[in-house]
Amino acid sequence: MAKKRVVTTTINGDTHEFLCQPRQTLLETLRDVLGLTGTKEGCSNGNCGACTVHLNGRPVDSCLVLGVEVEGAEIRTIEGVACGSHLDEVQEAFLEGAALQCGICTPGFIMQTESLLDENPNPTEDEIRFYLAGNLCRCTGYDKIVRSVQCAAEKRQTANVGDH
Amino acid sequence: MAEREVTWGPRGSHTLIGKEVSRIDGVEKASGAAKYTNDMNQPGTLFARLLTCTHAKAKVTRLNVDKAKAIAGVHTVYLFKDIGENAECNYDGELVAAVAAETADIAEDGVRAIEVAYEVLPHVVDEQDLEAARAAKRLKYDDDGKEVPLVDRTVGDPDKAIADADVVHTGYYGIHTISHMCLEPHGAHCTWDESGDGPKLTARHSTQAVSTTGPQFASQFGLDASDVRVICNYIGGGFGSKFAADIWGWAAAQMSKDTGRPVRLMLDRATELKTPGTRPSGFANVTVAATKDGKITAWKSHHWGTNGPQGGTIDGNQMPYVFDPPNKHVVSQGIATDCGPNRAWRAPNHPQLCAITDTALTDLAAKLNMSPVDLYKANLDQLDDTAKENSKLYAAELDRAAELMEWEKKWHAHGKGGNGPVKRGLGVALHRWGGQSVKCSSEVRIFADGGAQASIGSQDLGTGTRTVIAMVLAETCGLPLEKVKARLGSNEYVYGNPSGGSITVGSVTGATRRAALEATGILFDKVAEKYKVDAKTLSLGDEAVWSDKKKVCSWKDACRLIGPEPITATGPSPVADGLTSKLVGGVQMADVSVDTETGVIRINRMVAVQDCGLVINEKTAKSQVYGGLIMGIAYATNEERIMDNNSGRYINADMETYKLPRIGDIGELIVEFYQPDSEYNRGVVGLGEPPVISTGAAIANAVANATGVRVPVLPMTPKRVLDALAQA
Amino acid sequence: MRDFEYEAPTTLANAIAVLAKNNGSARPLAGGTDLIDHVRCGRLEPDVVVDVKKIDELNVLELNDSGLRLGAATPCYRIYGCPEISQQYAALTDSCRIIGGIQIQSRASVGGNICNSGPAADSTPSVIVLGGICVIEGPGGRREVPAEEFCTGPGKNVLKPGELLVEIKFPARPANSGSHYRRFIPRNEMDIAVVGVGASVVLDDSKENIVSARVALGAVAPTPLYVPAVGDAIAGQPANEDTLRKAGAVAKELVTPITDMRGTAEYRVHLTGVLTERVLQAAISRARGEAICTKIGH
Repeated sequence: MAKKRVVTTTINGDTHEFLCQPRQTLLETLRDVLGLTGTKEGCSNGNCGACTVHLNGRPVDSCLVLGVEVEGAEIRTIEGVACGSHLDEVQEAFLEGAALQCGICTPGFIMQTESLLDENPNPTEDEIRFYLAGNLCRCTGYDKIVRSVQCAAEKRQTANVGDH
Repeated sequence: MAEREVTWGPRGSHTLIGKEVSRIDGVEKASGAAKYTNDMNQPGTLFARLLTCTHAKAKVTRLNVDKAKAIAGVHTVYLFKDIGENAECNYDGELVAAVAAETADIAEDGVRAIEVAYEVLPHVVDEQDLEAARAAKRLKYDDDGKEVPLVDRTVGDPDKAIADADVVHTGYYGIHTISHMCLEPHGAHCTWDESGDGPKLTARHSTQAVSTTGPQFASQFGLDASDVRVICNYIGGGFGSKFAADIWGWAAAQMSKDTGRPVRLMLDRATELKTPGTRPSGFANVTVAATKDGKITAWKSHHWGTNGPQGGTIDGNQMPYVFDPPNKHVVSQGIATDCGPNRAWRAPNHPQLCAITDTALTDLAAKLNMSPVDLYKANLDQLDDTAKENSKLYAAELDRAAELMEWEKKWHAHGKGGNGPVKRGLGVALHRWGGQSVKCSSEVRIFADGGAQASIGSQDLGTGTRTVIAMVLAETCGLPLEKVKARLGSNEYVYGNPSGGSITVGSVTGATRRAALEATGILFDKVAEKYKVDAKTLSLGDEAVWSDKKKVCSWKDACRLIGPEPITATGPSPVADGLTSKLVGGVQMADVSVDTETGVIRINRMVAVQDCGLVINEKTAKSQVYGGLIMGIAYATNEERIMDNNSGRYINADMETYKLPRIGDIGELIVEFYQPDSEYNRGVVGLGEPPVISTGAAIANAVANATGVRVPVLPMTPKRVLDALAQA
Repeated sequence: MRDFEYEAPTTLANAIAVLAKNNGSARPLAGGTDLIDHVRCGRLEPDVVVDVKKIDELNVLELNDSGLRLGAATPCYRIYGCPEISQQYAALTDSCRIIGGIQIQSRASVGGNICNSGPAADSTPSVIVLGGICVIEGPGGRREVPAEEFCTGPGKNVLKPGELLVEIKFPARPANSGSHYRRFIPRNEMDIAVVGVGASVVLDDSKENIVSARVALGAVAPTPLYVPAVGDAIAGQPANEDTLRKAGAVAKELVTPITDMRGTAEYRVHLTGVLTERVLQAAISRARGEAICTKIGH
């Protein structure tokens, strides 16, 4: 069996060193090695987006990344979004906008929305639907997610205007 | 004791009830802190993987697990099947063995190392071809081998009524089998521990029924029911499929018992789709007759379909759906197929019944050159027993839905959907549901420090159950929402209902209201004695006790009178005291576009108008309707189980080829509750299932209106749309 | 997943040495979005996974007067993130925007897409119609293969053990040219193509007549299919509906699709005609400098 490798990476701003086998996905590593279970497992083949994390600033399906690939990388997971129990604008918008029900798809949708708004602070409805197409939801109805992303974009822009 | 009147109080008098309140567990869910069964990885946890049968029908002839057990890191192998008596596998995906190991990858190595061989037997997986099923002897037979239907029911004289009718429509309709596709699969994390005086088995179980699955674990292992603790604080979808301890739950418990380690066994995605149940299919030849004014005079239908090896199909006794013409004849036959078994799927039977009835009625309306809305209205005086009470509501809901859809403006005659390749059309359908509360208790405690909590052995499927319990408790105690606790998700609390059948909101809010009224009544006695006021004059609000609008004391001061033993009251459900009721209805409309060159359907707008009595939390209630709409859009457009007739296998058991709508596929959704005072006065009625019922029929009818052609079978995949257009 | 070793060479020479040493039991990993799934389901069982993302040559993305150089491991998002590429090689960026979702596009590469050699690969028809040349390096040195000759069957291609696709070279685009790729899928996003069509056209200066055209089809043959006969049939013809209809009819004659759960052979033949017309129309619009619509019915 292939030897375990030592992988050093930055997760949510903290340096982590962990052992993993080449065949372990980043998803499995985060959840079962590091205990970061906020990142959810849905389909295991890149179709549902429940396992979305940011890898060097880009959203990826962590089920389709090997743990060993993230040596030296910067990773952000859902656990790194809120500050304690203080939610950020996107999380707050999802909560207030009822864009979450059972909650399994929620961390993935939030991580994907974070990327969208970083890239495009003022997306159109079509752009939102396109950017979030890699995330599946079975019970919320999507409509509330679109509205919540719009609301988060507004909140974030207002906050940014306030900063300057 | 001061008895508080058991009512919800006048409409408009509340600070929380009826308002849009965000769910109280939202922070946990939005931050990733919420722990689901699939997230349980307590130290020492072993991870299980499954070997499943790869044939539709087969006998296990060889099953050797020695090599699997020899792998370093594999701790145990559990057998669901064996050679000999328990060798028969009845569908693709049936569980054969489970391997528990230090990591999931090692468990997979173990599964690959199991030597298994099958004697493959002939199979039937075609659910649509009745003649093929007849030839294969897969229907129901009496002792003499004569074919007997599941239902053969005649009312009045349908043949005569059809002969006498002004207009008769005949058509073929159907709807395929689908799976539940819970985003969190079925499974359990089990810890067997006999060392302390706690429960011997703790099952962190992804379940819709924490209170009733405990005894199922207990009886399997010869334990007392009190020796099993079942916990489910968060669950990633159930939709009717997660009521049992299940054989994989037992396997996890057994493997934990055998290894002395916690074991997590979750179904993999393919097994999740194949094994823990599906929604049965239904196909039918329908004849429906009417007067020239659109009054339905007769209905005849011959149904078939499958629910797997049991040989059932959808419930023919409820046909036609909602409407009850004076003359009808319904025959229903089930096909026993070598496909996975069925389980309750959100509103069991109803989406299929609606997809066959309301489509035929729209086609009848087209033949009468009538709008289907007018056809419905012409028949609201002949509804079935459960829908009857809703007849006035339906009329109002049809009108309101038409307004929201801009029906009058957009409506065109059958098939007049435009000249280009893209046709646009409107459709409508309606539904009914029960939603009555069931056996459930809520224990309310009020503490001397002012704390208040309600606990119930029920669970929150994401529907907002935790939130509505807290709202009712806070409202009754006159406290802000954040100052009360709602605890559920464990069978260590008082018995709570399983969450299915849209029974939960009535059960838990009724029980909590009753308990909270009793508990605060006890508090009122203490306040009355201390402050020398008449307990009957007391009320609660703004964190204070009031007597005839004068503040007597603060909530905290009142609670200081309690002492070390908290006030505890347990409220029951159901009680016929007006807090809860039953029977709801709703109307849905669809506006779709159809590309007649590719067959693709796009939803432009869906409108759902729903009644459900007194709405406790408008925000989470609406979410149920939005969710129902997307599940309806799913089974109307692309969602289906695809069985391969040659191999007998379920060939689209993954999230790429089992096609659920994505966020770009759903169009604009408009949701409104129909809630005049008469609805408020009915009390609380459940809502989970009804919004998913009529979506499919409404979309199918819109496609027919757009193109002038009926796409008879759901889902209306692009291929089925083009085939229907080609045959027209 | 089945067990494997992992190597991450930083030079082309080392990568080729590792691949050659393992003689066919090593698989290159670029974005991993196909490879990891294939290993997970057991379709591929490599002993060694060779991560090629750390090699400079495979990350080239260079646009100049002589054309476009696209490193084989360059992820989709970098390609469509470059406005000049989107403008000149529109079919390529159309493809890159619809391979999986955004998360997939963060990792998936055009090189990986062509090397997986799936008949329904979304970027391969675009690479073919834009005249892409595959640059391959191996123990025997460097060689170049036109994109239309790269795939040889489902999951099969011209790469020999030890060989690695390094980059794809595209010639500069002529004046008055436009291109487009579209696939038919039942949902709006994230499905495997039932049929895919890529097309590039060059118009004359009046922008009313077709000078030349290249069309390639996906999911209708064992490999992505270059159909020069379609281009030949419309070269020199006016860019109008009749010509497009002719192109669709010719394309339908050339395909040999299979029936599977995504669609029947007959259905795929029908869609080939519809999509060929629609995609050529969009390519012509782009050659004229007009915006295109990809909503239902277009």
